[in-house]
Amino acid sequence: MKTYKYLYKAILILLLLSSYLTHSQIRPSEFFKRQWLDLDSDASLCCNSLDETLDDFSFNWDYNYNTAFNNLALLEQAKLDEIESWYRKQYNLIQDEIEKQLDTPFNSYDQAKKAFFSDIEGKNITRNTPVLLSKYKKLYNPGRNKNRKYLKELKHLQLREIEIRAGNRNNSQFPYLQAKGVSLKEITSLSKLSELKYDLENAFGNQKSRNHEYVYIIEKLDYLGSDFDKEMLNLKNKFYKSFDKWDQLGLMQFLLNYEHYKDILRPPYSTPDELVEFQYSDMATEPVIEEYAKNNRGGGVSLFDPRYPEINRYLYQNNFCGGYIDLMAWEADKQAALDGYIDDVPTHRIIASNLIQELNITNQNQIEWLNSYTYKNDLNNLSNFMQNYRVNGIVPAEVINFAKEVVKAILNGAEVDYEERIINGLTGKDKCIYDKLKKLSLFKSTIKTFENNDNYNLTIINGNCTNTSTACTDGGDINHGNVKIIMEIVSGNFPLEYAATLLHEGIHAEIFKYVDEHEKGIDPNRRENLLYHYFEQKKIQKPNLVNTAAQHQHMADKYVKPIAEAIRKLDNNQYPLEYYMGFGWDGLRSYGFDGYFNNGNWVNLNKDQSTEYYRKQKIVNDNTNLKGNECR
Amino acid sequence: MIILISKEMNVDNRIFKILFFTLLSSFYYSCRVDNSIEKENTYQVLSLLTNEFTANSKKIIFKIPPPPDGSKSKHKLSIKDSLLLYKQFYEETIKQKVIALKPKMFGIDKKHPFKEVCNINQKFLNSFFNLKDSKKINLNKINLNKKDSLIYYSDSYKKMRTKGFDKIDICLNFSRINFDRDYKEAIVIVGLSYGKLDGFSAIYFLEKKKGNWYIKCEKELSIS
Repeated sequence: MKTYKYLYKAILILLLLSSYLTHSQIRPSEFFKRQWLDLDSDASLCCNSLDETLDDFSFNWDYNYNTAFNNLALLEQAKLDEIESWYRKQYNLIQDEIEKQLDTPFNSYDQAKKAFFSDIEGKNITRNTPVLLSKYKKLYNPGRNKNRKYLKELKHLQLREIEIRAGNRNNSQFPYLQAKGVSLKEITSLSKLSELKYDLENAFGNQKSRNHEYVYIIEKLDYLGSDFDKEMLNLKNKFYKSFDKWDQLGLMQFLLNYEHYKDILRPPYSTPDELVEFQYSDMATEPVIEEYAKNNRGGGVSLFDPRYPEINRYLYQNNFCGGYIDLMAWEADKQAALDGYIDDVPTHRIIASNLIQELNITNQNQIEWLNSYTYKNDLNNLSNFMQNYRVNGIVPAEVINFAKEVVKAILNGAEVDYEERIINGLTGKDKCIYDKLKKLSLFKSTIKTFENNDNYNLTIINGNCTNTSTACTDGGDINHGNVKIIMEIVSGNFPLEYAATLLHEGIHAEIFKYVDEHEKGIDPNRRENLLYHYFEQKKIQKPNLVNTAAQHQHMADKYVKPIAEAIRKLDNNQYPLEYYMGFGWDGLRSYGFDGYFNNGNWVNLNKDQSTEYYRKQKIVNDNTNLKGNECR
Repeated sequence: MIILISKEMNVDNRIFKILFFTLLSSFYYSCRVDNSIEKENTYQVLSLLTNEFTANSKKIIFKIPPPPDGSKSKHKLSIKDSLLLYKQFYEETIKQKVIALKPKMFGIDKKHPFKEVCNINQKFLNSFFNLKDSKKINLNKINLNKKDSLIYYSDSYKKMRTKGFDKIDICLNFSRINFDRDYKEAIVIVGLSYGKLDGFSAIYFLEKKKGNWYIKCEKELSIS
């Protein structure tokens, strides 16, 4: 029981204590005593002056306007009571707060205010200008792209106009290019062309005028200049001065709160009804900046702007003092400028664009190559080559295939002989030997192929043969007119053997071509000997060996001497022909039966002579000039 | 993981072990069977093609004499020609050849037009063109009909001016072989050379009938 007594006592004491503390905490401030408890009577202020009872401005800002509200309530009371001393005190306190905010001491309130206003508007400019810059860049960039497109299409029309004026109405070199969605091949008259040209020129002019403005607005937005800063400061001061001295104090404390609020939150910034009189305190707003940039930008107006002749009337007026404006002269200036722009559009890019579409090229490296200025001559040659074969706007499939091979090959450093339709991918010494064969017309004269050749393409490259030979000829794509010679050997110390191998494979290529032509209806009697071997081999041979055997036996009969003669010529006729016969027999020795035909005369060939050929071939190989300076 | 699950489930350990090892061995065995079927068929095809080009008398390249001057393609072989052919055939038949094989079946690096020639299923052909990796050949598993010598084509031959044809008679180079699911059809590319400038390559479509592979159709790709 004793314990309970102590407990009750303790609880009672605690209750009393807490009641006292709570009461003391809710005691009203001096301001509220006066405001709500009507303590403003003289009796209640017996001992303190009014400014001593009224709280000072608070500068404890939060993420809202509560502090500003409270300060305004204090200000309202001071204004009612006309407490000048309080006013002056807050005036100084605001200066202190600005100094604190800007971390700079000021000699006077006005100086602090000016710096504060300047700081506010500087921040406004920094905050609002990027939005406008982004807006105008978004307007300018698509506009610029549109104009590039218009110019490109005007260039297309320029090229088509040249064609039509030259009489080419139905066989455009650039059928895949378009103007206003119309394919160039569909433009067959100058009237149709003019119609499209007129629309494009107008669209270009309008866009050019707008782009001109955008460029200079962007330029101004990039640097608005000190005049704008001054103008904003003046406007801010004007706004400040539009209030009486009490409200100016209210504005200043609001601005301190507002800047804090803006630092934390994002626009749009709302202003509560109680502070509505200060809501337009920001001067450098987006509309103000935009209007200023528009009105104060440089650059005047574009030549393509309809206002241009009036603004620049001194250029077009009839006489020094005035007179009518010569609009035709303005039109002529516009046309000259437009022609200049069109001329600046690189023609090679236009040609490349057509080729990429016509050849259906999707490989990125090939596209880059076609667009590269460095290879514009190759590009022109390819386009002109295709045009030579184009009839009624259509290029034959084998020419398209050749052109595709050309793009692939040139990208790998190959050379193209459009006349002979030969792609040469050989390099260094190998290429040197091929060039010599070509220079002496030996390739052509020996195999008599790919001359007057309109349907077949030959590609010569370095590579590996599936069948472990020194070289091979791939006729797998002959249906598309393509034959490929793959050289696995390099010329090295045996340049003449290399040349003989090139000729050997060239003959295979020619036979592939002949067989394909034969299947398409060419007279088979042109290769009587080949057919003879083909049919004889077919009687006794497995199918997979007929072709190889027939071709090689045909070569053994017909080409041994021509190859030997070509190699002798390539070696500057250093030795008699018999020294070069071994080169002719290379690859054919096992097919040499007992002789061959030489211009219709049967030449006996026995194995002893063949052995002699080996010996003589070695002498030629050891002493040929092609091993020295002629081909390095 | 299965062991852990079994522990969790408190299954009888012995029953579980038997089940586990049965499953494991059947899985392993099924893989092995599949692998060995492919191997078996691979070497059947390689043996067929090697013999096709080398061993049988019919597959020797016959040298036909040129037609006499002025004759047309109606020219027939003379008795002398026939005798020479027979002599050649005899010499070729009794000669023991050295056949060199490239050590690896090469991967396919480009597509070849073949569908229109043999009317092959495009999907099957595409899966052939997708065989990019090379695979080693075991010479001991190739059955030669004749007592020719089978060797690997050495890299050193490749660097020789003669391409090694003074030491070998024939060189064969096989691509990877694509089989259908039932091992009834196959596609392969073969490169064949009789000399440094005397050979060809072709693509072959094979069919298996009554346990034997046959060439159904072919297309020549290149010639040397």
